[in-house]
Amino acid sequence: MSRKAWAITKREYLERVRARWFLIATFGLPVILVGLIFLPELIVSRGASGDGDLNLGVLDYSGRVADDLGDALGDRWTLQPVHEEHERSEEELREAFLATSLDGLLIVAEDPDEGGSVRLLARRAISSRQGRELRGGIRDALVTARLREHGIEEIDTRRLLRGADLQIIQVTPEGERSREAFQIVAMLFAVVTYMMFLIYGQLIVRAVLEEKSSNVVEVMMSSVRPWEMMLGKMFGVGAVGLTQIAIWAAIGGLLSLYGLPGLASVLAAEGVDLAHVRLPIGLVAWALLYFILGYLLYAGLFLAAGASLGNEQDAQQVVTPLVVIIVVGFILVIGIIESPESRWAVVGSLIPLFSPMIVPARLAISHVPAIELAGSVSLLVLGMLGSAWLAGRIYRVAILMSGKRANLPEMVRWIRHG
Amino acid sequence: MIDRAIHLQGITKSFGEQTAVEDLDLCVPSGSIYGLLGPNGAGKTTTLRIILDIIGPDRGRVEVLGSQVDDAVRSRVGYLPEERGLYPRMRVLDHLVFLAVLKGMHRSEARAAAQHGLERLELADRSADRVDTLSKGMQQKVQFLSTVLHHPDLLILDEPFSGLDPINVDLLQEIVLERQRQGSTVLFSTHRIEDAERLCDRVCMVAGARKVLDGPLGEIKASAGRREVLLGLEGDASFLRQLPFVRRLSDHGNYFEIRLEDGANPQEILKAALSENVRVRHFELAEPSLREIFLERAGARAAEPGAEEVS
Repeated sequence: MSRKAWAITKREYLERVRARWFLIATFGLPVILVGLIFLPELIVSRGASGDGDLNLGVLDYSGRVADDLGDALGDRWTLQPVHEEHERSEEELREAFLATSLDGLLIVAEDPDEGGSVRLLARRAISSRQGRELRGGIRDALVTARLREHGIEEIDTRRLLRGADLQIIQVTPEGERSREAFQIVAMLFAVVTYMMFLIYGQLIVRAVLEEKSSNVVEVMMSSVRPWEMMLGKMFGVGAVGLTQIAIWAAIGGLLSLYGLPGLASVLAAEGVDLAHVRLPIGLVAWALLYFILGYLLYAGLFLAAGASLGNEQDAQQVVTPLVVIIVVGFILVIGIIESPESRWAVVGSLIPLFSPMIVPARLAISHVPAIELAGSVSLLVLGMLGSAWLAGRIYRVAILMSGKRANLPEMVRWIRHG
Repeated sequence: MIDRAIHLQGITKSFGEQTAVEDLDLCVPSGSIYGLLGPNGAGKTTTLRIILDIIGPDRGRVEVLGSQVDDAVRSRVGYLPEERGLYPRMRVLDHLVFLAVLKGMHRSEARAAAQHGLERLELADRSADRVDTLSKGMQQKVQFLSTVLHHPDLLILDEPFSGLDPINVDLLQEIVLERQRQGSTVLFSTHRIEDAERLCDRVCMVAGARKVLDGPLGEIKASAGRREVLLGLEGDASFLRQLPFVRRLSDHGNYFEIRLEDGANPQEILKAALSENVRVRHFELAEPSLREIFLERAGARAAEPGAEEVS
């Protein structure tokens, strides 16, 4: 790289890293991300909407659920048997329920085995956790009742129904890895790549537009060649992105070493034991390579888009297709993480626009054959060079366009009026 | 041997239907101050951009400082574009150093030169401020400074004095002349003829994408002949318009620049004035001002598009 391109890279980098938004983005984004992970958990566990004890009336026409439901549900539920001599109409039941102080009225039809319904009239919205508990409790109570009818008593139904904890470990010549743990890693790669491409792509567009609107471009063009400006901008802005990722990695490393209260338990709920997640260096290196190549590919496209625009309003139109492509890539990744061996995964890994998002995620959760990897990387490199070439051509011509546009009407006017 | 700082041959450039520059030859001798004159839209900026290789010509040869424009040449040129522009969020000193480094200067050297330049332009106290906190005039001075910081051999200034107050015009002019004394060549474009007349050794006039005049200022004036009468009058001057031997009349209120027809006797003006009821305060035979020559040439060219070219 030439000395001038290096000077431009340095300027782009320093000006951005020193800016206030860099601090905000670097430390704000993880907070938002962590918030997105924890917030639902917080709502469910702390019960912001009175997700506490529930006081239910149980009207059991079958006579098979009410007795065992209490044991099956545990302490947080208070059950009051309700007896009705005659079958009451739905309307009457509702009126009667509203007159009580019960939180809910559970109505078990006469023959739940034969498809009779079980309904809960509830005064308030029931949280999905409470719904799950109640559903499980009814199932356990029914199983206990059926067992009793077959003469089996005194048995711990929950223990009877408990499955075994299935751990999926993929064993390859390169080693083994746990599916659940690396699913989180794959997701992390995908989210970070997706976010960075979107944010930094738009950043490049804005940088080019600013250069055009402030007319710096002409001064620059008298000193350097367009490709030097282009490379300087791409590398400088990209280096800011890498710095940001490095800071996040450092924060993440510190958190996993010293532990964030709650993080381990959230992950454990997803079946991930943090102690067993050790990122192989090779995986990190591949992810980094794909990120850099993918960034350069998209940076070229965004740069060309930005250069060909006159103003901020036009920008949105040209940038939108690129954004859509990135979003499509992200949606593909989500699907591919679910089924990493699918044909989509193989094809997607060969498309340069998508492979930077897909391949690191695939590498995290499954083994990618060397030949596929080689094909994917070569195509990505080709794509990246193609994008740089294209961007160079467009940039060279388009970067001065606003100045030209401003001059044409003047020329025309002069010719007309002498 | 470089006795020509800039040498253009047969340059043509169009944008779509619009011809911005047509078949332009230009030769700027080393060490001269050369004025590129013309009304707005005459193709001045396009010509300068072609010289700097910011845009390529459709046809023609460009030679700057003895060779085609490459990195080495770019580093020896300082360019002040008409549309001024700096990175608004950069600090003044950082910005100057950055632009100087792009011209091949070393960082420390650039920093010292920038500090010295800022002091001279009375901007030293703003060196740590962001560019966008400066007034327009100050930004313009900073930009000007950036074009001379690396001691260029060739200075290309596009409308350098527009938008500046007289004090700053003098200040910048002084710096330009200083550069020239140190051996630099200066090419500047302007639509203000007074600037050119004050500063230039040679001028080139363009109008409607073509060159209409080119040469040393003195020669241009001499060739136009001493047929210019400066007349100061008190009283009703309308009679001047009736005189058959007046080709052109510029009315400046209390005095008039009068261009006579070829072969007319200037004394006739005085005679006519004496026969009218006016008082003559001033009568002078003079070289035509560049303005007069320019208006005549550019006007002729505009009136008849096929007008013959003078070169």
